[in-house]
Amino acid sequence: MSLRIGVDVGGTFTDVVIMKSAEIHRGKADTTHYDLKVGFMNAARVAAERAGLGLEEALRSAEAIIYSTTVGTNALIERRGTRLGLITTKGFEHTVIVGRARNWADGLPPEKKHDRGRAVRPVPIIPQNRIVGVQERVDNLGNVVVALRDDDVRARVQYLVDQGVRGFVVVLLNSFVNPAHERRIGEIIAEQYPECYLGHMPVYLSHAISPKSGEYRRSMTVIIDAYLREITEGHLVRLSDDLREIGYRRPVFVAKNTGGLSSLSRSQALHLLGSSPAATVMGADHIGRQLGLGNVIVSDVGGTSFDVGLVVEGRDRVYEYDPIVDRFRVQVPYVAHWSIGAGGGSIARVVSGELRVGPDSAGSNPGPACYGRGGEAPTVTDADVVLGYINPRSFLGGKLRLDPQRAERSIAAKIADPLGLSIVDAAWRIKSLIDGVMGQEMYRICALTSGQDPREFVLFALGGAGPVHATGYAHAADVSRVATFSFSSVFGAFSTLILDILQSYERTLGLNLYSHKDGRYTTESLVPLNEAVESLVSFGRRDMVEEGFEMSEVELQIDLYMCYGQQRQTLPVRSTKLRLESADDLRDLCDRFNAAYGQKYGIGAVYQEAGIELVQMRVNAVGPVGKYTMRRMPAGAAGAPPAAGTRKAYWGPEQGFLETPVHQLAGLEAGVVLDGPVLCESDDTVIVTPPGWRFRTDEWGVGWIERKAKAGSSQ
Amino acid sequence: MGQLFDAHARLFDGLIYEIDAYGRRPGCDPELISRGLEPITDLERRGMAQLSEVDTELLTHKLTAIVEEARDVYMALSITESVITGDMNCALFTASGDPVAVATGIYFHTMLNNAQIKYATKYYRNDPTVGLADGDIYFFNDELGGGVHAFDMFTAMPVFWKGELVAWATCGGHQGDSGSPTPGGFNAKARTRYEEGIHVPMMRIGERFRLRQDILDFLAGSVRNPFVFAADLKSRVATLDVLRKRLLREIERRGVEPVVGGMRRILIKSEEAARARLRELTDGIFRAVMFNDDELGGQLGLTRIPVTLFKEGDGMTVLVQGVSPENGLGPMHSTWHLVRASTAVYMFSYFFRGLAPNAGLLQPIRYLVEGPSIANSRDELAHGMGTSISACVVNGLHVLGSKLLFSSPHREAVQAPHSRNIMLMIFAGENRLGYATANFTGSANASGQGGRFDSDGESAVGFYWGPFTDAGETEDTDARLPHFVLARRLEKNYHGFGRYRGGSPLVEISTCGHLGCFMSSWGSADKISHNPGLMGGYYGPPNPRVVIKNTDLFERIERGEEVDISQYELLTRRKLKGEYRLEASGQATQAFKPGDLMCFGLGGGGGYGDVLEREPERVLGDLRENLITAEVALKIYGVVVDPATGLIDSAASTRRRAAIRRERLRKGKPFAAFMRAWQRKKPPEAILKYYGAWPEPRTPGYDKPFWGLYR
Repeated sequence: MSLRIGVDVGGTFTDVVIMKSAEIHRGKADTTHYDLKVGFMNAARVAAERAGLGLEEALRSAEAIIYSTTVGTNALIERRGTRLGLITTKGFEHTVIVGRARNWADGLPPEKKHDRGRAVRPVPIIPQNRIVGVQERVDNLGNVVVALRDDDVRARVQYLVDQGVRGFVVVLLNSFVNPAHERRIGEIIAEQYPECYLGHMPVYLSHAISPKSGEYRRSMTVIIDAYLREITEGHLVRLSDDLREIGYRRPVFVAKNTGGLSSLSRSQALHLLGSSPAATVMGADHIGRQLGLGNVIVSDVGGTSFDVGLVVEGRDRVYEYDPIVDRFRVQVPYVAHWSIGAGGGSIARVVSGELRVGPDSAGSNPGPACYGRGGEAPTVTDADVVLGYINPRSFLGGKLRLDPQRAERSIAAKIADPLGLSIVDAAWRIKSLIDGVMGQEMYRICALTSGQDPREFVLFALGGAGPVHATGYAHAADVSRVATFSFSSVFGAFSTLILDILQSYERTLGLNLYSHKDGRYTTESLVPLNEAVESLVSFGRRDMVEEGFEMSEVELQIDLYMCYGQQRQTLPVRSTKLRLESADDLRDLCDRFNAAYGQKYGIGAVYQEAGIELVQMRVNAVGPVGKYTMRRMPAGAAGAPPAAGTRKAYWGPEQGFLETPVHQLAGLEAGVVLDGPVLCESDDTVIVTPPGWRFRTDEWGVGWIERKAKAGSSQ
Repeated sequence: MGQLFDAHARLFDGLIYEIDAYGRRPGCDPELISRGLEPITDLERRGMAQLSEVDTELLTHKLTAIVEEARDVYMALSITESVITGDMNCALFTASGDPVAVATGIYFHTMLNNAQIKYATKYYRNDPTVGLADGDIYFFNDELGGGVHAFDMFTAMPVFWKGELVAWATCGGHQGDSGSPTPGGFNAKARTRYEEGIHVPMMRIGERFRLRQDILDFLAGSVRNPFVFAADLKSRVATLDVLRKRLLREIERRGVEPVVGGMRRILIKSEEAARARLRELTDGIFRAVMFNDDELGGQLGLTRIPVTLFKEGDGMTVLVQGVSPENGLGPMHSTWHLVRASTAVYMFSYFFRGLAPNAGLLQPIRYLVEGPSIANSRDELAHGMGTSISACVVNGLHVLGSKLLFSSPHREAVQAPHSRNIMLMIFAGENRLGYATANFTGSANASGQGGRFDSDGESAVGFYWGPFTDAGETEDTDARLPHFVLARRLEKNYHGFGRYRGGSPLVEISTCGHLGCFMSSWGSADKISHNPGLMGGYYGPPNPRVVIKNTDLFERIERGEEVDISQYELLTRRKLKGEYRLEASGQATQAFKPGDLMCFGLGGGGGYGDVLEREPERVLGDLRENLITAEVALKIYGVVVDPATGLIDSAASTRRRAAIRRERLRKGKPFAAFMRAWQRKKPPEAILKYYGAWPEPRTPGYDKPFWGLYR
């Protein structure tokens, strides 16, 4: 029996998926913030029971436990990390406070990003009084312009020790080109506080953790990683120990925001932040491939946020290279995902005579007005209840009884009356607006940010409210096919089970590949380029051997980040060779860069005459693991089975309320086709199929909502 | 214009107020420039009839997303320093030439491009020698045709749908060189427009979506950095292509009428929202007087720019009157349209905070800018630094707007102005990767914000003109620019003090690498600050240029000495040998060598409220963060800090503040007495040479107080 366990610790729920001999079993429990392990065990117990196992038996027999946790995210929000000191180049002590000036807006929702008058910077992770400068300076070519002095370093270190720091972060300008000064500071601290004594303090040298250009982003990368290391490590080591006591003998693997996993001993704390949505995108990619789908928009609608990710044929486009963590920009090649404040709990209000929905949420407590927990603000969920999409008696499998009168009263008082509308019209406007906003966001990410045509994409509707609103935001984003899954609500945990073991290494290079001065391919760059590749590949060999792989099993991916002369923005081009040997190899590389550039920005923008530069390099070492494979379901009776019941649902001003068939999802076999309007309920969502759309199930157990006008499917 | 205006204002006979102070000239029609929104077209009217409120809201989101994507594309592809850091914009206009959706950078750019678009539509579209066709690409940088100054260069593309002109797309920004006598573009010593490089009115430079090589060669060959110029123009074509394609896709999805009608509806809604906000505010007359200093003809001169705001019902009048006359000795001459457009920087970000920024917001406002004057000057003059004058109008308006908003539901927008005391460094030379460069740097796009009614101003939050500008990173500067940055710090005592202090600027101190480089600078507010405080807060400090030539910096470093490189330490302790120069920002280009230092930053914001009301703990916090010195804590704030413990001596502080209050009372006098004394004061004649009549430039013998009204 092969058994693997995927865990996704979220802010509200902890999800566990057990994959046992290619079958998946779900478990869900409240997240226990006082001790995250408790929630994990509770959810694992539910999943194990569904798999016909006891908890201990499941853990003992598991080949791998893959863990996605928010422990670092929470510690960062609450500023509970290690007390650090920062040593930087003298004259640049304000770099991490000021950022790039505009950093005050990083991580804020759109409406606040534009509100310069009310700009407030985030609480710094290292306050100004624990930031010191040492006199030194290296230029971008690695030349030492101002030499480092040991006595200066010792004095600054002593000052920081007097401030009570418990670790040192060292970020010097251009250390990614010439790390000599950073290394010397590391040596001095090691001399003063050797490892063999109590009170030893860790030193984090930026060139070793993120050897990339951009002192603000590099600083924040190293600082956040160092800040969260102790607390993350403590949590995961305790968890490992507890699991070992129960009988689990393998390493605990962690899911990473870079789109892979690794054992605890080969992971960085920063890579664990946002690992769940990153894994979800990877999971969607995996499922999409099995369904023959190259392009997928992943949408997850919860109570407070709307998360979007993209799967695009040609993987390099789904990474975000300078993502924002908390309110800080860092240098981690995140699997891109975006989030806005829109969901079932989004609050509707009238501002200056106009309807607004979100971005703030009523959360789960007090929650929407219909929850009856004291919330008075009308929300999207209240509108869904008024419109008849959500059955007040069977919400969350009947665990929470909703009060439709409260929903109506709230919408009447706060929206309908001020706008002079009926309650239903007001509810419809709330739904239309939130669907439109979510759809616009999806369109922005897909078409505008990523340069893709949404019409070529299938939408995965995840999260409890995803299937309720999917056709609404799909329409706004120009998407006509929506897929829903029986495990949509635990898709994050499921996705951890399809991640490969991944180690990524990056460095800044600054090599010219095509000269703007004399119009030739600069073969003198080949030696440093190949040396850099070999150096990163050697790290990959070391780590993947430690992970237990033979190198013959490991896939090495080399991404070269290129631009025209002096541009800041780069595009990645995947190298087809481990070594480049000639001008022809450079020409091939540059041709592929020109093609990618022309595809993204228009052929009129291609400008090789400006020279082509290789700015940065990334090597991925990928160790494959066994993954879940979808299995065909036996075909049921084709056509439309009788509905379990009906209820009135509202489908817009033209059609008004219609008596709408209601089906139970669990009872639908493969091959069912239902014309909209129709509602299909499960214990954690409702699939809403409006007029003009149809719902059908396929042999993989996928529920498809498709626009009728667009006949056919890829099945 | 309104009862208040009619009762209290008088416009001088023979002067120009509602239009630029020059007539029609090649490529330029002032009548088009001064227009508000164009009349509604039939297509727009039909489209508007099809739209619900939700449709309009969603279209607003979509158009905003489109222009923001275009902005990101432009910033990503450009290699022009100022564009990379956000001194640029992208926008969609109606077919008639009114801006609907803007992503920027710089708000005021978009309020300027409309005139050129209207010009092409009126004069070129039906001209058989020009015409207007799908795929045309236009270029313009002539400030007289509705632009800013020659360095701000724009491109525009008409958008056609089935043969019908339905919109315009534009993008542009500050270029590094305009072919003026000064490398890097700005010619601080220009006296006529002919000393400021190329001036191109609306001109077609491409057809069928491609640039014409002969015109590209002409333009690129007219500036010092053809490589950068051509690369940037290519990036603009890519950006326009994105704007056009996305808009056409929307038309394909929604239909041409709803999109075109929706664009008009967005403008109307903005105007309605602006008027609704104005109705919430108390009527009244508000007045502020700003002063500017400049090296005029080689010597310092003082000029004056008063602003009066008449708020009545759902409209406002901005009256700029009593302005110093044109002097013809430098480029600090603004235009009527630049004044109007510049106010968008305040109105969009603060006064109309939260409303969609487009031309509709300014529709309820009438602009009366007296000309000919330094604020509304004639065509032959140099205008390169006209923004120094228009900014005085904006910051005066910022003060007035804050007073107007104070007793309204919109008090959150009440604060002292963002720093506009600009000292901008311009560089030229070969960078360390062998590329030729010439531009001004955006790396100090980090001036201080004004103190707010409830909190301190943030330090280093972007360029005055550009709400969304970025200051970059020094490692990037190292790789791209010829100079070499030695420090980049928030400066001490470099903001306005107050109950809530202003924010400090990031001040960058640079020298040159072994190849040497050329540097010049540009700016104003060298002796007289443009950053007023509010409600008793101090002005943000003036911001002169600081240069130290021939220092022994590297010799000292070689000897292992500790050198503290910050502007405050360099100037107050003067440990380095060398020639220390504190001078006007606008200077000609000079060669710099390793060890020569230039400090530059964009100034600190003014304070809000009385310094004696600042909580002592906040003063201590400033002291600990090196934003102020102990001397300021004691003398200005009246807070005594024990040097031994670093803690506040509460009893001594109470005594100190009481003493300051007694001293204030001792100096106090009745209003009439104050006025008698005040009116006898007069600056030295030497600096009044270009001021006009004293105290009222336009009215010799005028004897009312300087804030007085005319009736």
